[in-house]
Amino acid sequence: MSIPPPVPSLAEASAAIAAGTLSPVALTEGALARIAALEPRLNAFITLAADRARAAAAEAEREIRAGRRRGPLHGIPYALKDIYDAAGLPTTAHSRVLGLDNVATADATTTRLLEDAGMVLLGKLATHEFARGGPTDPLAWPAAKNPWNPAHFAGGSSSGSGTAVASGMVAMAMGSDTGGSIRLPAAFQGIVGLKPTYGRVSRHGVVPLSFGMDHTGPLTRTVEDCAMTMQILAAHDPLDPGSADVPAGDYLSGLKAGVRGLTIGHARAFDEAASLTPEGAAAMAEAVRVLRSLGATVVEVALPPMRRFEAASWTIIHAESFAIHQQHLRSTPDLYGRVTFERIALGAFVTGPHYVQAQRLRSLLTAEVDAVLAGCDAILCAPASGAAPALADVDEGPWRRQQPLTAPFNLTGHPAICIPAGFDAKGLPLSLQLVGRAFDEAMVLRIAHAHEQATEWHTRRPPEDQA
Amino acid sequence: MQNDTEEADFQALLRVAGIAIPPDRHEIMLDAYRHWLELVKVLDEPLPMPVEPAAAPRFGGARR
Repeated sequence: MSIPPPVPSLAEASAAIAAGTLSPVALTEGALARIAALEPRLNAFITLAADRARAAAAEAEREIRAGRRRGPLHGIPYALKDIYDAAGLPTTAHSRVLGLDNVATADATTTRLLEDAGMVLLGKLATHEFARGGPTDPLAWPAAKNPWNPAHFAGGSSSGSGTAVASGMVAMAMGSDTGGSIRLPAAFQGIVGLKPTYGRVSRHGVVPLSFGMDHTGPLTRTVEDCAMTMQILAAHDPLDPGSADVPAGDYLSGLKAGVRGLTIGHARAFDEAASLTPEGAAAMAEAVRVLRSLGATVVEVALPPMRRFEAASWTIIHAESFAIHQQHLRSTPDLYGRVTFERIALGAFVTGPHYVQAQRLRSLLTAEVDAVLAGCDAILCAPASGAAPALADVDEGPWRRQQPLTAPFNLTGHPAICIPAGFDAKGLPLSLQLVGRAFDEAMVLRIAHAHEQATEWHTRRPPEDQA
Repeated sequence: MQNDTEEADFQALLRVAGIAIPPDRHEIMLDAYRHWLELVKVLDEPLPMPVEPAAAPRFGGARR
């Protein structure tokens, strides 16, 4: 049986709908057909809302035909990591602790924004349990697979979001990022993942892991699609105590302005601290070459030592996640996967002074990264040591010995994006990370777009016999 | 003995938190606790007295 083709990008679908050559119903049916063909092997979805999607697509089609097109994303399917509320659907967080009985009565703010834009919700996606567990925990639903090679890690915790986008089931899926959980699935699956500035996109209606470190944002196949989504998502939300009342940027008007005249700071020592693989290091060197060839000035910059970031980040994450889960950890520990339980239980070791010191250190580290960004338009570094590890090699202990290079920017709140940067000898994607000034997602997207358009990595697809 | 102290502290923290670790995972969690102690030595380094904890929203443009 032939596999239906991957869905078009948001930009392609939007243009085709505007031209009248593609209907929301046909687009949605195409997505559902691809999901039906691939889902048995990839496990991207926990809840597939096919009937709801068909009804929403039909309604979008009626509105558009009647001349009431709401905007560029009207009638285009999307999906949500299953920690986002969507009224009428269960929010499981991929956990027996919540389960399918936990039906949302209202939309998350982000869900509401996407629905108001006329997007068509296909369903809820797999995650690491409560955005904290690991890919090998036996849970009520299977773990999402990496379409480039199912024996390798899909990244996490927004694993299903990465899988659904990378495999062409959907052009955009929402993820969440507390230490890298949008950017790492994007990095390991060859797509784009943006963690916006802390406070830029609402967290209201999203199951929390760590109040001060949680960010919400999109995963897409292209940078332009990411920018199109941010046009919808960037808004002040009074329902989110961490939401910043800062005017939303225009993420599309300057997207194609290129990088000539910009200065990009390469955090080489930061990369070296992560012990990049030779292929990972070569990908970063190539990224520097590409950006220079496009007219950017690339200079080396020094970020604070990784150990300071890790101490502050993990103290906050451990303490806050333990505070959220402590009753369930005591009363129903068996409902958690082993990895999730042990990682959240680490919060039992955090003292009050630890937590306050971590937040004080956070102030200093944020200022230090701000100071680096005062001298350049963005920081370039790797997101991880290399390509997705084999599942058998994923560290599933409570204490992970090697941390990715993503969590520092959860701590400082700066916007950070991962985009494709090459492939290793096994055919697995490599990625680079760009970090911008607070609330300057537009610059991060502009640089990412320039790199993307100068390379061909984003055009490659997972092998169909595996995807 | 340092290890005896660490083990006792580990058990006490779990008891205070009300968390029970299965016996077959005891050594692994104790090892994680030791890594934790090593990591948070960074937090014992003195900071200038006026440095306050970070608070959201964290950036000057916020108007809340």
